[in-house]
Amino acid sequence: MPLEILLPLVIAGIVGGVGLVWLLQPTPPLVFTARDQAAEIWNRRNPDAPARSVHLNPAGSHALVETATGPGILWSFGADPVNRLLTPDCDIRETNGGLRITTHDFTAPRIDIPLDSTERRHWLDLLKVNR
Amino acid sequence: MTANLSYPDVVNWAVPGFILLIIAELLWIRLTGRGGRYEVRDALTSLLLGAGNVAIGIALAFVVWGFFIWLWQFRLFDLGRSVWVVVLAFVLDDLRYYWVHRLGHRVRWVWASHVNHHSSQHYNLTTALRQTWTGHLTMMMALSAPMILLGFHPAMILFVGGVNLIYQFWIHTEAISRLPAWFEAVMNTPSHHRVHHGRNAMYLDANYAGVFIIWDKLFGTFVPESDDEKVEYGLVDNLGTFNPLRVAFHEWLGLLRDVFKPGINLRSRLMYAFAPPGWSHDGSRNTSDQIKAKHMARQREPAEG
Repeated sequence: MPLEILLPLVIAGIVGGVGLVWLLQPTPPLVFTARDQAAEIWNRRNPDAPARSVHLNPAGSHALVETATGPGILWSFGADPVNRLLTPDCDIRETNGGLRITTHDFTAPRIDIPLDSTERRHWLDLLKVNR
Repeated sequence: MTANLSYPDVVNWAVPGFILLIIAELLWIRLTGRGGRYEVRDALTSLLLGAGNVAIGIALAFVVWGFFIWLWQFRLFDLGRSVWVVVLAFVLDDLRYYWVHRLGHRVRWVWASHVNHHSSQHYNLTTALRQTWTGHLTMMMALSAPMILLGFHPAMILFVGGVNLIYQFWIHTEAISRLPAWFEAVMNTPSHHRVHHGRNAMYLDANYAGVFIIWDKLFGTFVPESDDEKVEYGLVDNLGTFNPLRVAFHEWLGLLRDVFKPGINLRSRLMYAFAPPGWSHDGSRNTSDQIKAKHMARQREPAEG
């Protein structure tokens, strides 16, 4: 196929396809509605480090999971969950909207957790205790 | 017999069909409320990776073509261009695909290229387009050498490879449950390929087929989709990024970091590059075999306890 046809076709396909997904919104974002739900997801994905306790943020977008090997974060990533055990080298700092964890992991470089000021202190304490 | 042999670039010609089928699948899901899931950023990443794959394929076509034509001068026969030769080439090339694909999951060097195809937690037609940008680095084109040396013309090899790739597009869907038994027995289907994209322990490293599922049955890697175990798609450790550059290159970066890790011996460096994904010199990670063994052990625990 000539490039002068293929190139516009590919660009139109990407813009049109993504635009249609955006318009139709067929799959809603994942929200953690209960600690048990988050624990179940975590345990299925981390059978070697099962959850001891789970703390959800008010938005239901993130969960702090305490395990025998240290704390981990489970978070809503679009329509799906992603999780990471926090390594000692990750940086945690407060932001206006909550906490930012810089993981130094190329595949999940940053976790932004929306938390109000009270929850923020609580999560920081939990992260300190468990690291 | 095959001088000036040429075939259409079927994959590029199939692009309009890919777009129409994606729209059809999306509308089907929206109208029926079943048959799959779509998420904006995930779909965008898949489509950008697909576009990048096409662009790199065009830019580096001379590498593959040059290698194939160089091999062609050493051919034992010239099998010609009859329909039956094309059909035979298609079947043999599918066998080649099976082994390239199997190596793609069992050798980290090749997995580093293939991993991005498995990096979505969705399974829809855009996932089919989530293709590698680094396939040339793996040198897997060498596995086409036996066919070329046997006398299948390079243009024919590329043509049947393209048809193979087009076949694999439509099987990346949850909109089709299961097809008639005779078809499921011989052909790769959405059901078989869903298993291949599963991150569940029981589905790891299974169903490598491109077109004919018989290769998996023949070589012992076939696992049927179970109604008791819903497939969870994606990687053992799923990515927390939609950035196409990170998706395309993350495993190469991880591989290089491991290979050049200080304080390990040469064997470990080689193992980090060529052993199955998940191998580590200190046992701190799990290969798929270890994940499956642990899963089996956990399954047995309640019965024994």
